[in-house]
Amino acid sequence: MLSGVFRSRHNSAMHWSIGDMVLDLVQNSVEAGASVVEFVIDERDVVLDIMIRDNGRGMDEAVRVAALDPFYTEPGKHPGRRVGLGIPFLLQTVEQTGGGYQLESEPGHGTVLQFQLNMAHVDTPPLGELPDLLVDLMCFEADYDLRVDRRWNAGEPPDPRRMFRVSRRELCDVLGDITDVGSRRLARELLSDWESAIRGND
Amino acid sequence: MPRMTLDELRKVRDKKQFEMGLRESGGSSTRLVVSMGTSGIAAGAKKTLAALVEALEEQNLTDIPVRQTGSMGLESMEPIVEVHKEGMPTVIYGRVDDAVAREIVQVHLKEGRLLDGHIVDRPAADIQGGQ
Repeated sequence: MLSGVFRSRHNSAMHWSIGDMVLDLVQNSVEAGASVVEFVIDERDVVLDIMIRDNGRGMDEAVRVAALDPFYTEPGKHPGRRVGLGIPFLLQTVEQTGGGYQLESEPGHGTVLQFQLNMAHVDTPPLGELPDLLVDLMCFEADYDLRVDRRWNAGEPPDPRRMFRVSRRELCDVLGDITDVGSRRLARELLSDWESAIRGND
Repeated sequence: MPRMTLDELRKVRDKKQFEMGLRESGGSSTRLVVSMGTSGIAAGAKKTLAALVEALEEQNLTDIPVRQTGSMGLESMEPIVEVHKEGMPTVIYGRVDDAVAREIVQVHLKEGRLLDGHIVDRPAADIQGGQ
């Protein structure tokens, strides 16, 4: 029988969804001083392609390779700590489900992380609630823009009815401080509406 | 059905702000900051954040910002919430599950009292630049 602790944390802990991993990785971009983070999320049947590109401080080759190792964390980020699990959590999922990834970085210019997952694989976690994730990605305590490019079976060239683009900046222009609870709610309503529209649920 | 436009969103927002015009405000510097690095997410900080947002909505404190930040160097006490409120010391609460999140809104933000049992010390020196 599960203990109370395990029960109470079921489905809420340990990077349960793909959205949790994305939240972690975008947090890295914001912490790396990025003023612009691009987030592309493209679903085509059972294939999920994600790209996170930032213009933060970037990593040299030694740090880039080390970031793949769970027993590494960036020196100076947490000098008392010797592990960094954000990227390794993602790689574990990619490897156990036959997906792919690419991590490129240039010091002073930024980092691009791309990965692909097979959503039909039994071990691939669910994406989670996308409108909630997008709102959270826009509410880190920093000054940055987040540019979202969302596609759902959009084809090539992409069908505008099956995609949307939205940025933190344009939502802030409309809502003011997007992080206050009222604005979070309104942003979520808009993004839920758009997400249902591209999925043809309207 | 056409999608909601940004102009429509602006109108909804203006209407809500007008309706809430007379509401008591939490003060301009009041905000909640949830630690949302790897360890925070792993400990369930997303659920904590959702509970804070829900409780603030229920109390009609919708002008209070709830933001996320990276690790505060207190991984063993995650999920962590830092509370800034005008006229009160900035306080870091640890092991904040849904129930504690609701208590923070009720006791700290509404009643202006510190919540016993979950206050933790300032972040470890390592992330403040010293060793």
